[in-house]
Amino acid sequence: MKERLMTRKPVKPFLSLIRMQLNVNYGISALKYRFTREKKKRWEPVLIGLAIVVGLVPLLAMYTFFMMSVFAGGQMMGQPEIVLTSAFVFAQLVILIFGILYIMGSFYFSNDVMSLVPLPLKPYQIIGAKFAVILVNEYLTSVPLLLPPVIIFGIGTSQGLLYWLKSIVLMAFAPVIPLAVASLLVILVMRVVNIGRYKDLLAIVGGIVLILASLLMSALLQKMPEDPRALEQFIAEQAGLVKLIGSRFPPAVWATGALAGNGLYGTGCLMLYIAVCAGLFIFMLWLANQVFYKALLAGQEVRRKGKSITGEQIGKHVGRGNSPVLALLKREWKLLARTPLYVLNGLVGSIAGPFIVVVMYIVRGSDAELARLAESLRKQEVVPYAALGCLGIMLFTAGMNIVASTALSREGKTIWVAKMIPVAARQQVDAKFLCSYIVSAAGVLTTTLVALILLKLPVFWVILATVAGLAGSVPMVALGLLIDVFHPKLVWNSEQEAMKQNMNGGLGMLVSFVILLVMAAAAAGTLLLGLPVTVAFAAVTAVSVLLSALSIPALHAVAEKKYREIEA
Amino acid sequence: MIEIRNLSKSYNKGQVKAVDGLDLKVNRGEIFGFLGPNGAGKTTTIKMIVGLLNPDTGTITIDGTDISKEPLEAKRKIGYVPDEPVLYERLTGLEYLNFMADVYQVPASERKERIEYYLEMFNLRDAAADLIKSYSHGMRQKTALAGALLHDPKLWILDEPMVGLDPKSAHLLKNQMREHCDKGNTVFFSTHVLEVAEKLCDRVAIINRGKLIAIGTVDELRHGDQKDSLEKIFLELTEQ
Repeated sequence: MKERLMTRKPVKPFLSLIRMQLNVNYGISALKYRFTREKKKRWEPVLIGLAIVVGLVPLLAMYTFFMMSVFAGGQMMGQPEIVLTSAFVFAQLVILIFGILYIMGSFYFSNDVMSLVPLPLKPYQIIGAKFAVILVNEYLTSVPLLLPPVIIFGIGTSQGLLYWLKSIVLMAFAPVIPLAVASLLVILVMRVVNIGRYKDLLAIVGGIVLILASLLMSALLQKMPEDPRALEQFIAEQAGLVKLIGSRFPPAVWATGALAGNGLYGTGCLMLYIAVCAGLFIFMLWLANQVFYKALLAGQEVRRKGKSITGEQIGKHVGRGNSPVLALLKREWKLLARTPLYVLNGLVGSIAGPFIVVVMYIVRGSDAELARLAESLRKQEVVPYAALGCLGIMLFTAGMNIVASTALSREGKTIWVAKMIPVAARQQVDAKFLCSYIVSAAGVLTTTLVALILLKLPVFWVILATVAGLAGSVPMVALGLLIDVFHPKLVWNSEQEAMKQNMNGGLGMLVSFVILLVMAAAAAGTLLLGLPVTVAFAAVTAVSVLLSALSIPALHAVAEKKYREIEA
Repeated sequence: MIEIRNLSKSYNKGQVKAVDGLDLKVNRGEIFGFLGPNGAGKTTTIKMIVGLLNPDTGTITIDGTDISKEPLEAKRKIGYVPDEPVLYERLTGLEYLNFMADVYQVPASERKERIEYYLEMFNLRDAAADLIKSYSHGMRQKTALAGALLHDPKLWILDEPMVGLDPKSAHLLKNQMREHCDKGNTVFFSTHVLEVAEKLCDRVAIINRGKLIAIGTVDELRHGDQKDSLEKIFLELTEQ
């Protein structure tokens, strides 16, 4: 060992930093330890990996099937490369939207930044290393989104070796542009908001504004020309659709040109794409070097009022006291609501679904087509089905809620309090359940408001959907929480790691989607039998009650066992 | 008050024995000092007493209650402060104390008075309305202490309680420990500061490599030689 240490060549600090960041982020040393020392537990990562693969395969298959149809459609119009443009636009938008929160957390809210600052490193080196980790992470999103269309187009148009080589280069660079743009936006926003007493609140507002801006951008991208003649012209023109889709996001056009174009045009597009990636990345590092520390250090300063508290104020605050569950619920809620990353990933994430509808509505409000759609939804024979659609959105939103599936993980190093206090494990998870359920219910009720105010659906049907949605959220929250209690991630460096980079969040979503499918099947079954639509709502509610009756006792049983086993 | 029998805990599949067949009895009404070099097994023992770690073998009873059989009942009797109190950064000190009062079910009629008492004693009144995030190490330590003592537990278990405390707070805490024991209660604490143990403890135990190597009053450990300091005894015993 000593010899190995002696013979290891000295590595440049920047590379060493990247290596350390990757190690910490992916728990490589921890995994090695688990496989070599704690052999009893080696099945855990394997099982989690397997569950993710099993869960993702159907989604990936559906996506591939969809892309094949896009390719076939494009081929019929003589523009098969449309599949590449769509995929690049979609993948890069997804990375941009999710990257904003990810970058905010990694750059400004992770505990390790403050141990890096005193080291003899330049700001751009810290940002560069963190960017590298995020880039590697984003391949997990971008490769599954890009690989199927690249293969479909490559095989479908019988491309040669050069195509496949270029596709590897393009996929390697694909997340760079959206991540660099997201980093630039975050660095600029944090420089402005990370000051003063209300910086946590401002960080939340800043995050929301950035996400809304990205959503708005995606809405604009989807906005087709209103003049039907212009659309016809685009379709008729060679590569017209590619230009139309990519017109608001040129890198997707260059990527398509690089892959589908031949000779000088293809090479030119490839060079342009790489040059823009490099240019944006370097500009981002330059900017980070100028302003990163200022915002970061301002963020570390915690303002203290230092005002002496009077006996009267204490008495007012203390009041008559709370039951342990209520006390735990209040604590959960305060910690959730006061942590910008939890608010952005949890609270905002859960109401984002219906919010997208609102944004789309505002952006595309002038569309006659949309107005007609809203009106047609209000027709007597359509209303029940529109309400069922709303229920689907409500349950989807509840399923996206990762507050439950990271609830115990978020305790991190404070888990000793949970182990020490004389409160039963079932009561502790009850408080976590209630806190997570409030978030899911907020998502359901946002959809209720959208259905009532924007779509103007009849109150009776909206209430039916809301009741079924609130009932359906119960097993989703309970099972999400069960997943986290079963295998919590208590060792983390940043709140981002506790919530967004927590596998339990993804597993919770997968389980929720399975529940959603079961409920959809129950509703579809009643409709196929020719029963009234009200019965479909009753079926969803009945399935919810049944699943709740099973999942809540299971949650309590697992909690009693696991809380004992957890060592703090 | 505390009875430990044949307590063992190992890590890495038994390769590292943190605590090895420990037997210990702490009597009611005494201040008991738990001493040992770094990595001797002090914190591991304490964490098993309060239920944060599960022993491999052995039993622990607190005032007649087995911690593994009736954990909630046993925990109600304990006020515990860890060596490194990681608290909820985004709660204020007052919110944290009120939370602890709630979960330990401190009667409504007494909680205001007790919270005020500890805020005053530890000089935390000025900081109580601020987020714990803004506290210094010592302030966190004092907040954790106040939170652990609010429910007036029979047994205080303090892991390195003097670390981070300013001299005035350390002095006040030592007085509190004595007063608490004079009322028939018990204090069990670990420390590296041998002078504190020498002056304050009714009995001490020294642990090394997970095994108990000495137990008794400081006088008993001196074996009649009054010139020996606890430091000398400690060094002799732990270097053997």
